[in-house]
Amino acid sequence: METNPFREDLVSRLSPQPCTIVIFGATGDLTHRKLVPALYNIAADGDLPPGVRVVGFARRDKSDEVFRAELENANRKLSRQGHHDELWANFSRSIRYHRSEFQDLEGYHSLAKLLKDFDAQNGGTCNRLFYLASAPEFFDDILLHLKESALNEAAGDGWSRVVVEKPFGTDLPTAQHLNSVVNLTFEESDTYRIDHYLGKETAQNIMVLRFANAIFEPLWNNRHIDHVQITCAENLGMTGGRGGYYDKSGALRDMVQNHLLQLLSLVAMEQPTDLSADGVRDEKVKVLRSLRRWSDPAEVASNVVRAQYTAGAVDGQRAAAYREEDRVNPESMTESYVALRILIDNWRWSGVPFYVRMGKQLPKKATEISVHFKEPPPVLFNVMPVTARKNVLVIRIQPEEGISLRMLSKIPGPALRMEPVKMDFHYKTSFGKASPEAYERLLLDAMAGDATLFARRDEVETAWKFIDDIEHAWHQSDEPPPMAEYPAGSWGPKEADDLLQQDNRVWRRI
Amino acid sequence: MPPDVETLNSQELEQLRACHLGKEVAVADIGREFSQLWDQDETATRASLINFAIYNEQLGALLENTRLIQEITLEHACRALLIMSLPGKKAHRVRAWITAHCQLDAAGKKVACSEQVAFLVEGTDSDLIRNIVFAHLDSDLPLVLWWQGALNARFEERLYSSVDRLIVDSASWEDPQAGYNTLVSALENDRSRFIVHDLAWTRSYQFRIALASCFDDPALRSRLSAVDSVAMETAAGHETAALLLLGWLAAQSGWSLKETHLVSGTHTCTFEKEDPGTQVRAQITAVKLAAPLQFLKISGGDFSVAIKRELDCDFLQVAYALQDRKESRILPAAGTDLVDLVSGQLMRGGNNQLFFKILPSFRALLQSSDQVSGIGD
Ligand SMILES: NC(=O)c1ccc[n+]([C@@H]2O[C@H](COP(=O)([O-])OP(=O)(O)OC[C@H]3O[C@@H](n4cnc5c(N)ncnc54)[C@H](OP(=O)(O)O)[C@@H]3O)[C@@H](O)[C@H]2O)c1
Repeated sequence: METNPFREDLVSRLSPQPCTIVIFGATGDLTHRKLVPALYNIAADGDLPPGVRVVGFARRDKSDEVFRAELENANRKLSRQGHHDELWANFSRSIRYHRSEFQDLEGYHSLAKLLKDFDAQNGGTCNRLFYLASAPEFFDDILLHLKESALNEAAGDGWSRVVVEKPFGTDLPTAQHLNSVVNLTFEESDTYRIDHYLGKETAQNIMVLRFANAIFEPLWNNRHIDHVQITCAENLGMTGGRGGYYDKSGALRDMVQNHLLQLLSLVAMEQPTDLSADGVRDEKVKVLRSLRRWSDPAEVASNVVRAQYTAGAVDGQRAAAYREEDRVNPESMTESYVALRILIDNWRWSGVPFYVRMGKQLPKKATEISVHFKEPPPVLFNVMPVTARKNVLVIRIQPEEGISLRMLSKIPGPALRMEPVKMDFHYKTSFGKASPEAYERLLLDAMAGDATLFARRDEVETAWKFIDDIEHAWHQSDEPPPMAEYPAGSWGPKEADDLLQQDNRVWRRI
Repeated sequence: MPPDVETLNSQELEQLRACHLGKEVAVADIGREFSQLWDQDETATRASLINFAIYNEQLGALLENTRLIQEITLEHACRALLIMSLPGKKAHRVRAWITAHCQLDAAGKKVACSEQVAFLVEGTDSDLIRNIVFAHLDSDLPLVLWWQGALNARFEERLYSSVDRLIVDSASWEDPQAGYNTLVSALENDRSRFIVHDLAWTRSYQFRIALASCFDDPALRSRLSAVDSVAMETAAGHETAALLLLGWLAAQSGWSLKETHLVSGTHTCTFEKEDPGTQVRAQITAVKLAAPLQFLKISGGDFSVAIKRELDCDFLQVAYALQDRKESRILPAAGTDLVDLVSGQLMRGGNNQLFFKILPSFRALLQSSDQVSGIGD
């Protein structure tokens, strides 16, 4: 289709296209806390194309007005740029509520009719974006009914896309099943699997840092890098009833399979041939395919540490043990902490371990990647004793997004003494404005047809293969690796420290 | 230029005092004085992404400029240079003041501070101006120069060849055509490498976004070649914003200017479209008491698009009609305050290629409206 000449140079991105967004599970937490505030802020930035309509699909009976009022309440509290009555009134006119059970085919037929009415009002076929914001057990029902009611079929010049929320399965077979149902209904190119970490500015900045600067890429390999650490620390436990969901999932499946392996791929991937969605994702999936897999429980035990928190203190408050948390099985064998030593078997990374850790009830909330460079040869200045000799490049994903570089410097004075100093760059102080929320960027991309920041089927399945080896060793073997413990409010179990100690390394202090 | 006088009069001194420029320091001591300032305040972090200089020759603008810098530094950490030049004074003298503008976090703690140096330069010495700019830049950071007022003799090659971004406001120029001639010859100079941002062009940004978003609709986009009329309303004094917008429409749609008239404040232009023999008529009407750009309507055949901004309203009303279909909505309209314009422009950055692309069609409009203006009025 002819491009819009008036878009030239206004935004250096694909432009979002008018569409109807149907949210399945629209009365839920995700829609209220993330999706609708994101859409409102896109509108407030003037980026929402005209003719975008939002249809909320859920089972409780309510009118459009009540639905809008509930969303308005949430938006008032959560919108990044505040809430403006006039803008909201204008935006919310396009929101409708559609009551139906996910399992009820009739509800999809009536949805199809509603969308046809919109088409008629729009004077042509409208594009459709189906957003699965329901619990994953309903994905099959929703997808199959979309197919049965032919809603998955794009008409005319239009398109029909689906956005799938995590979790993308709970292991390889369930992911394969979900993917096959998704692909039975939608083309892979019309499928957008959300990993909201990829929508974060700093995650996007990893590629810019690596490939837009001349100084890092020549050093980005096993000749110069000693190891990489990826940490995702949370200072929360199972508040707000999260225990029920979490206890069925665990740190490895909830965070490592998706977010942390995505970050690892961005750090480790080769330079893509172009910045197209598949160009980038081809390189990321190659990293996942090169992850060394562990064939037996002993190998898993020596490379992966799992743990649960015991009672302790967080943020000045007593904190209960994991097994005593609300909705957690008192005999649970689900890990609230995991640390892994991951090896990537390719030329660039041979011999460079990637230490990845994720934990609940740690002292701070922080997600970051640190790249630890090798020690310089022990000559000249480097024969002198120094506490932290290695250069470390830190990419902070949250909070306080930014980048810092540690290097050695001479302490002023007649004697030659050296100390590490840190060059620090903070997004907030440098760029003032708050970054858009990850969901804003991802929704815009889905409307624009840019899948670069979404997970592709082979990425998801390859990541599950790696994760399943560990899960099988933990839960299906006769001699499962032990479950370690750490007091809530500490930096994890001592076994995780030992994992690095064996390699003569330590976790970075955060 | 005001007549040469020896030094500041009492009214000027009063204006200067009202500005709270900070601590007066000897020009040679600026670096040292800043170090002392930071040594005293351990809570603050000095932050800088750009060198941001404002140049002005009206002492009356100093108060407003200190406010502008204070607000702009909230979003853009920078080394700010406020240069107040008084070419009408005989003395060749520079005075300097230093201060810092800090962003506060929720707890009221200073988180990042921008340094500001204000200079008062008496006399017409270009060397002096150039030197104080060059001597007080933060190394390695780009230089953004906001030149307020006409581009006169002080805007010279050695100065502008060090500039990375130049901000001007053609709405403040008495003779926009002459201003653009100077600007274009500076741009064409082999030594210059700056990107220019005319705030008159920035003022049309939200109108362009709004129009572009309407034409995201494929049905409307297919009618683009059917456009036969354009109507605009602009505030008196902001005609260049409207001419830039019209130049953009013409350049992006492939129209070439055939003729133009200016009668009683109304520009009427005729363009020829790519399809030979077909024409577009455009009219720009200047009205009193209006937003700089108040109204744009594009129509042809079975469709029309209208964008309207009421004076002092934060929104644009966007409506289009296509056959029986009617769409309308409101869009945010970014502030018209100079802080909003400059901050928004700094935030967007970019290499402004589109502006260069539309310059020929805009200058053609500017030139012909100027030529005809004498006849029509
Ligand atoms: N919450 C988050 O921040 C977050 C973050 C990342 C990913 N996710 C993922 O997003 C998905 C949704 O999470 P959530 O927290 O929003 O869930 P939630 O609060 O439990 O909401 C569930 C929604 O599904 C609807 N629903 C349930 N059963 C239904 C049925 N049989 N027929 C029709 N509608 C039905 C509910 O409608 P009624 O209200 O009418 O019952 C409600 O709208 C999950 O896959 C989750 O893993 C959530």
